[in-house]
Amino acid sequence: MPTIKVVDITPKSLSGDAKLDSEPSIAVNPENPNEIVATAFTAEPMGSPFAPVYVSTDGGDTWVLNPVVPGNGRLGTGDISVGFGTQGGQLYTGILNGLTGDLQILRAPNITSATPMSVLVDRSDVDQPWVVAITVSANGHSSDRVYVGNNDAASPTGTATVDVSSDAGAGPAPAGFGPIRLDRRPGTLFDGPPVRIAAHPDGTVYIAFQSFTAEDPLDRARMTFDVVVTRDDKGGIGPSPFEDLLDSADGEVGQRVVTGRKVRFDSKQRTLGQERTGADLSIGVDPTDSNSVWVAYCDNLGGTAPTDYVLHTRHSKDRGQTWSVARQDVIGGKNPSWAVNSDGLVGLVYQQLAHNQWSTVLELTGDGFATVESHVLHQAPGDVPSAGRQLPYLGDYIRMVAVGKDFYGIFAGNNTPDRANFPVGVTYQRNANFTTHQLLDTNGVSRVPVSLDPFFFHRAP
Amino acid sequence: MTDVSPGVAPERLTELVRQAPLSFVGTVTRVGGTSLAAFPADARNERTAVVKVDQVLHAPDAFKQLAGSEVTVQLAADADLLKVSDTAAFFTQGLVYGETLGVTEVGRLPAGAVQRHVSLAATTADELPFSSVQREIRNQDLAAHAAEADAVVVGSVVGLEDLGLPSYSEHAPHWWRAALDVSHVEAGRVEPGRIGVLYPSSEDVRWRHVPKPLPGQPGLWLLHETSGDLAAHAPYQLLDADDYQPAQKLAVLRERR
Repeated sequence: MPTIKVVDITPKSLSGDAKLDSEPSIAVNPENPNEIVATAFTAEPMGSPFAPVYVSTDGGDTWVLNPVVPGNGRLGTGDISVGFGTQGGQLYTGILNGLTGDLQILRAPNITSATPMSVLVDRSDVDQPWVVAITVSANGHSSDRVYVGNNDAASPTGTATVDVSSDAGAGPAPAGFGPIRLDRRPGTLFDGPPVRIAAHPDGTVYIAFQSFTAEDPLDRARMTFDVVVTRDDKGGIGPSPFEDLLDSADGEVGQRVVTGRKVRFDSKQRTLGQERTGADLSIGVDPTDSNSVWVAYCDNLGGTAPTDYVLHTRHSKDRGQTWSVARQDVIGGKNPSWAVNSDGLVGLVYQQLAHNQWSTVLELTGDGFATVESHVLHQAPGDVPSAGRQLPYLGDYIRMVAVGKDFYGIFAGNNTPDRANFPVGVTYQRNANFTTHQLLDTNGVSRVPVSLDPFFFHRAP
Repeated sequence: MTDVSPGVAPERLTELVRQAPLSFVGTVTRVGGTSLAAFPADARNERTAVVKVDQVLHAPDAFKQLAGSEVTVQLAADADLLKVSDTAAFFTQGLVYGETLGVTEVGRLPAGAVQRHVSLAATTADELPFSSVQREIRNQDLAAHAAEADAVVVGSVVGLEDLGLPSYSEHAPHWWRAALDVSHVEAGRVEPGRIGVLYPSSEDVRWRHVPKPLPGQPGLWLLHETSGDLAAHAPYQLLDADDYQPAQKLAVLRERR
């Protein structure tokens, strides 16, 4: 029987925290899965110049904050994404610096070092970095190929970009990193914030992005977009990177998975409870078969009302050329994240607002969703805590990864200590009374208001 | 390391509080070790002390209830070593946040040197003994921020308008223009009357801390000149959390000029 563990990763010494620690990300060291790094909108609690990452060295049971990320702003760093090479334990991080807003690509030799991460790349006007790293070995030499998806406003049309280094673990800045424009198709107005990556050990790399093609002249926030997948079969490091998948209809670089989707993309409007919408995307590849790739995206089509936000899924068995519906749509769903384990077991985690309840759901299938193992990891009222003036609320993304047969993930949610909110169980490090459903301060007595915490989860076979 | 004797000057105390986000009176319970697993191994030596917090002097919100807890202190390199049962006022910065708290010492006072603040706090509405010191620091910072502003005015919001600029990023500022009816000019090349001030209406994490003017809102406004394309829409903008203050803060600025 598989086991599932959910942990509120806020350390006990931060029991007095009452902030909205949202938009989490996670990386697990494939060589030593006890080493896990998690991130969120968490400021260094005493205002040091460096923002923290959450670190666990015992498989996620206990966590500490390690302030090593440059640019500690009011919410810590801005957007942040982390990834380990598959060998060597180096950690790569993409951030929007919490003080300057610049994209920075960072490197740390290991996760327990108190030394601030090295800055490899610094560039302005870029959004939502997303890190995937993979180690390749050839002729006795190992190197970390690192991909940092991002949305680079410097591009005049298609803004979907990936910064790639074929050997990011070596050498001084920029350690071989350079940007590659992904959207070559005429007619793109701009691309959406998420640029998502799935790398396979055989060198196949898929990247998915949202290509916005039109805006409603009467309501400019109502956009039309395509979901596009590009592919490179040799790690994206050759002379014509990410041109191995051409669209079956127009012959341009990048297969359009779906076209003409409609969505309200307004970063200041709360269109799903207290959350904003419009830019949700995930891609995953089967480590046992690089032909098999999964995509999830969201739009305003297919619900029971035109304003419904709907999570859709697609699967390709032929390296991204043709796509079919993977599972039933999820109305009110967002923040999808795919991962596929070493047995080919497909995992999908997402968050859903229904009947004013946020749920975080983990689904696993080995037969293309004909049968599904489903777990509600967390559920709580959608209007508690109040978002106040903060957007996003839960965050523009969550993340799950697979290491071997195990799935590891992270999500943000209401931290009320109520076991009814955690159907598969939960462990808190911070002080909490599960009888009175009350968070308690460091003194174990004073009450602390409910807020958002990052929650780690682990499914072991 | 700053070692200050009893009778410390207010300026020195202010400097210590400014350097250290957390200060407390504590009693040493252990020297040379810690139960905090994540405390850096290379820092565990005779300059590592476990200290029981007797009284928090000032702290970020999340640590105001530390009294009674044990914290691990990495003593400053040039500070006197401590022995079990020693008591002092520790001025510290964060180092490790785990099962317990690990901090780095940046200053130390004899416990008696802060007793006056502890006693005074008990007779005032101050939350913590150094709350008044923190208020003074905030006022100093506000005065410094005002000195860097291009204009400082008192006025009321008489209009709000969306510029309607394209926004293709989740972190776009969504610029709006507020019309301020300026009744008093404290600094800057502004005439009393109506002026335009841009502000990011977005509540995205990058912009949410910047003030969002409300219709009719009176107050003290610290303005920054616009540049580039934005200059065509208004001469000034709000960019910082402190750019709006209650009008009473004008007195604070004048006191520190």
